[in-house]
Formats: sequence, C-alpha cells, structure tokens
Amino acid sequence: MKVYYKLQGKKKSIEMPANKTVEDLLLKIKQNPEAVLVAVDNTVIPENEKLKNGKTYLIMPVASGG
Amino acid sequence: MKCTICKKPAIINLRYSKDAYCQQHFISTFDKKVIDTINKNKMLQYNDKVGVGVSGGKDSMITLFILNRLHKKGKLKHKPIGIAIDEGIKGYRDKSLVDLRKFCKEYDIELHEFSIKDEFGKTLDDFVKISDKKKMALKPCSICGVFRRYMLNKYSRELKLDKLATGHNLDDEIQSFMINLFRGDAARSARLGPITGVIRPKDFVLRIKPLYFTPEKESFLYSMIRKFPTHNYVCPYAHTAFRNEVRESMDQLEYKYPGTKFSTVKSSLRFIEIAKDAYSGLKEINNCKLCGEPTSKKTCKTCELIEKLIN
Repeated sequence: MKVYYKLQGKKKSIEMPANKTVEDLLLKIKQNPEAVLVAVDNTVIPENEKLKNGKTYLIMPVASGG
Repeated sequence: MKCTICKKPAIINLRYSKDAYCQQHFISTFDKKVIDTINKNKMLQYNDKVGVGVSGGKDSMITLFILNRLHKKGKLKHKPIGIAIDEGIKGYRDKSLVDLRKFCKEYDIELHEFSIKDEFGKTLDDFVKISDKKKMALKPCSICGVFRRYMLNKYSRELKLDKLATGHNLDDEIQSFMINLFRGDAARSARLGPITGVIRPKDFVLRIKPLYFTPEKESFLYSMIRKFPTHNYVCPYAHTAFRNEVRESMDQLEYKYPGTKFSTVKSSLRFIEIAKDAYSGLKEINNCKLCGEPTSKKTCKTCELIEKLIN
C-alpha cells in the first residue's frame, strides 16, 4: 500500500507492505519512535496503530533544542 | 489500542509503564504527575511568591500554566509571574518571545523581560562572534547558560521571589546528568535534582523543576492538546551542543529498552543525594568582588566570562 508522510514541512510517499504499523513506517524512514509524535487526520496516534492506505502521517520531532 | 482507564481509543502508548491513554486521561495523568512531583519534593508552600523562567517553548509554558492553575484553585496565595531572558539570538528568541507574550496575555500572567544586551552591552550573537574571533573554544550554549542563570537569579531576587520554577523535563535532566558523567564533573551533578543547589545562600533564589519526571514527548503532546501558542522554534546554536548527541543516544536506548530513562533518573537521584552530601561542606559562598552576586570563588563565572570576552 501507499502512504504519505510529512516531516519538517516536506511531504513524501512510500510503499509499505500490508498490516504494517506507524512504528514500521518510522523505522523505515530512520526516525526513532521515541523521539517523535505522529498524527493522522489531525489526531495523535500511538506508534502501534496499523497504517491505512492513502493516508498522510504527520511526523513531529518532540525535541525543541532551545 | 485502547485507553488503560476508559477503553476509548488511545492517543499515546507509554511503553515504560505499559499504559495507554486517551486525550482526557493523558491530560489528567500528566497534571497529577506534575502535582505529585511538586508535593512529594515539597517544592512549594502556600505563601511562596513564585516566578517561572520562561522562554516561549512548551516546557516553561506548561510549568507556568500548571502553577497558575494552582493559584486559581487557591493552593498558591500569589499568582505566578514569568521571567524571560532575551539572549539576542536573531530569528529565534525574537520569535519565541512573540509566542510567550501571547500566552501570558491569554492567561493574564505578569511577564518580566530582561535582555543580555541591556545587562552586558552586547547580544549573545555578538558574544559568539567575539568568542570565535578570539578562538576561545567556547560553545554558544556555555556563554548563554552562564548569563541566563546569572540574570534569572539576579532578577528573581530583585522581584522578591521565594522560588524560581523552570521547565526542565525528564529528558533535560538525564542529559545534564550524563553530560556531567561523561565529562568527569561529579561536582556539577550535585547541583542537579528536582530542587537545585548544594547549599542555600541567602542571595540565591531556590530553583524548582515541576516537570522533573515528565518525558519531553509527553510535554510536547500536552502543549499540543492545550493549544499553547508555541512554535517550539529551534535555537540556531543547538546543533553545536553535545547535549543533542546524548539525547539521541538516550532515545535509542529508551526505544530498545523501555524504561531506561526512568531507571537512569532514579539512579541519578541517588547519586545526586550522595554528591550533595559530599560537596556541601567543601565550598563556602561569597559575594563576587565585581558584581556582588553569590559565587564559590572571589569572582563569579559571569564576570570571569565578561572579562575574557570583552577585554
């Protein structure tokens, strides 16, 4: 299936096998699930949620580094 | 995944405690954790006049918000105030101060702003350029940290505050502890903990950290849900800090071995307790011969730094 993700203002698409989770997506794009929050349809979701075909996942790094 | 408490859809899964929470129960659990931290560590008394060192970022906004609510609920006599230090970092602090002013206006909170330029004649950007030109091998965060601590203490005292709260979270505290460990600076770790300081001189305003047991990921989510007007801007000097590498390493360990961060903070607290005992008798506190601020030496770190940078 094809999903989209938005990270630091850039939107990209990626092919993922069926039944994969948000955590699998994060690992695939080299993001530590511990260091980000993920939202879909304006709702934050846990990393173990299953990915849905065609959806856009917003990936938000949590460290502000101020 | 369902909320551990109400079985509604969860928004976060806390692997370290094996709990998952919906929005409502995440917020109530977060609030309870912060209040428990304040109470168990005896951080505040009813009559305390409290200030919060605020930056315009999520953590200090949360701290100010929760202390303001304690005042509204009648648990604190005085309404907390915000103290912001404008370091003079172009494109960063100027923007985050806009967020902060908006937040303070929204919650009707008194905000006091002080700038490094007014205090020392130059902005942090200027000092960084001078340091580079003189090849002083000083990282921007080292200059900034010394000046900020100095000004926060000085103005907290002038504002007659009993306590100064900061937004340091669990991740910040672990990083500081690990950095000191890696650098072989045990004495510096004695100054860490939910209430800071080894000894308590009269000119030093006691610092408290209500978010001490709150992971950064959770404070990020909390500020999102509360819709705080923060953009969480990233400091342009942040990439130079060793802290970032420590953060990444701790995040990797936490991902592989959930609970690592809490175990580390637990060990660090025991270490800090021992270190506080070990170092409490070693240093007497004087007043800096140049500026009068408290210091363990004849001249404080800030005056030493100014001397090196300007002269």
